[in-house]
Amino acid sequence: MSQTQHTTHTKTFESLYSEYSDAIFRFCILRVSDRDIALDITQETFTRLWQSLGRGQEMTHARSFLFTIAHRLIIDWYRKKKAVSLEGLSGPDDEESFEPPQENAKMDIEMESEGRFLVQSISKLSSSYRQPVYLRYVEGLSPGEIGEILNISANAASVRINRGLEELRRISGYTIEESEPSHI
Amino acid sequence: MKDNRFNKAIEDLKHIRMTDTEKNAMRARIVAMPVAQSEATPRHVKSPWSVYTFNTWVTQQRWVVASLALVIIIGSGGVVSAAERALPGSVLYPIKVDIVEPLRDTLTVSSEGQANWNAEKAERRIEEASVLATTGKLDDTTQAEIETRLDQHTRDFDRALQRVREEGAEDRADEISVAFQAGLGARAQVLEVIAENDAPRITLQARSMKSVEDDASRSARQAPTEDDEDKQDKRIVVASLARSRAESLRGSRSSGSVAEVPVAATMSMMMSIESAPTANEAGNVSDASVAPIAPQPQVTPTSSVQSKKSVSQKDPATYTRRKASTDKMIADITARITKTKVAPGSLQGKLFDTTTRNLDEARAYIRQAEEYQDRGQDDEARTQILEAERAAKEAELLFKEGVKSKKSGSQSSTKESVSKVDSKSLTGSAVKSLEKNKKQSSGKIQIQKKDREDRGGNKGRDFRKND
Repeated sequence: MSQTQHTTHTKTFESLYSEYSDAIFRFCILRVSDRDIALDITQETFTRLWQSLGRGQEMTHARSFLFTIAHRLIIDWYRKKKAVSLEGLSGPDDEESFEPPQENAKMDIEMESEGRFLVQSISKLSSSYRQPVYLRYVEGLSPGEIGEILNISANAASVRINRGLEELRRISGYTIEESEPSHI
Repeated sequence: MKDNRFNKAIEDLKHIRMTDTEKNAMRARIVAMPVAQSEATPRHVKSPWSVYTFNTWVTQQRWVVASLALVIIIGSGGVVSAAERALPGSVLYPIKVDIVEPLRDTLTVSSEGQANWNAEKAERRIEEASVLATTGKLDDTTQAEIETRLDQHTRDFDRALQRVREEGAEDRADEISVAFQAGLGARAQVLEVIAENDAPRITLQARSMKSVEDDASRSARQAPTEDDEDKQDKRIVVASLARSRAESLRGSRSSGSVAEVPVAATMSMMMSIESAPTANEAGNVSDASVAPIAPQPQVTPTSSVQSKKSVSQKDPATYTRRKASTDKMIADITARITKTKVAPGSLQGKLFDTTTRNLDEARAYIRQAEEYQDRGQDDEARTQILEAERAAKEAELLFKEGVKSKKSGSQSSTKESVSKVDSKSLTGSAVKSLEKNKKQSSGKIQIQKKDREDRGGNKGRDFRKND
């Protein structure tokens, strides 16, 4: 019986892992700008998922669960980093900076110029708009899910998405339709 | 309209991904991890501020329990202080007598302190008894109980005093004993005076009743009258209780058997006061009081002189100091009494009369002491000076009581008379006759007062004789 249980949650894990591991990794690497750290955080995120599944916890909102954990782990990492090194002093004060300013020097992410431009544009947004815009248009999450991840209401999330989008348009010159998520 | 550049950018971002090797390695690592079941159950981190945390912490720390208990005991001072005022028959009285006072017994270490404390306890018993007597709540059982305790306290006091003497503080012991006697004596006299003060009112009532030929009203009034008399009796009983305890100590003072002398002195003094109340008081008193007492010293057993010789040798300084302070005290009170205006016949007036009597007593003792001193009988002189001191202290306490009675007395007496009128009207007797009574009685008051005074004096004397 425990065997069947084991196989069930392994299966669930396998499917969730193959579905979201890249998205989580992407989410992480764009924020920490370090491949190894992004890998670490991704592994930690999925380890937590694995433990939760092993305990028999049901995953109703696996995606927001994973993003929530990753989001928190990234914040933790920023805090630790701040405490340990002086690196953070040169950068912006807020913990949730999408990308550190020394990104170009350090980042070893292969990216087309267009993608790089988008990331830079997003990083120029006000801090409270970065995550909502990214999660909405890049990862295609619903305002409800985004609210869950950022620990705000769905309403507040959609307000931030819209305002963020407006700002993004102004910054980047993109002509994106408000209502339309890029793709799901 | 979709912006193609935007879409392209998102497409670009989607290319950011783990390599297959990275992905598979990670999956392998995660799946290989054991699911920590036990740790998995969410553990409650105990808040250091929650009540339960505090409770467990407290019970784990012995010293906290101990100090808390201490705080509770000290904090319950409210109960203790309430108990301090409790009277026999009250719920708190056992706390006062069986817990608080024994606690102080054990806390008092020095023999001097114990003597003082026992004196205080004795005074407390008398105080309780007098309050109960005044309110008419002193029944025989309570009285017996108080008496037993009083005896116990007096014995303890005596023993503690003995110890003080053995420790060599003879003078201090004398002082304590004088203070104790003065305290009880003054209390006794105050009670007597108050009781006598109320007594004429009763007879007045009785007389006025005679004039009313109304059987019904008489029988109805009989009850409160008896009650009052009973109350008065009780107060005098309490007074004699206090007096007897105070006088029981006289024998124990350093020069043994002088117990007879003060009584005799008092008697003769009172005679002298009666015979010559105003004119040339000092001279009269000295003649009257010294004469009968003069032969007494010969009667005094020589044993006491022998046994106390060693002590009396170092006495002169103390003797003169005592004499001086007593003289000063007498002068002080006399001055203050003459300064204070008193309504004649009032309670305060009577208390002051008693004060004056005590002052005269003290003066008489001093003169006796001087005589003994002249004759070289130091021990006797010393005893007399102690008696003088006691009398003066009693006078002081009485004077204070008198001053107090002026402040509170006028109020309470009117209250009492009002309540008496009320009780009369409650009996259902005719209001008319009441009015008549009042008129008659007010007419008689002047005569009555004189009567009362005489009677008061007699009564006081009687009780002294009895003791």
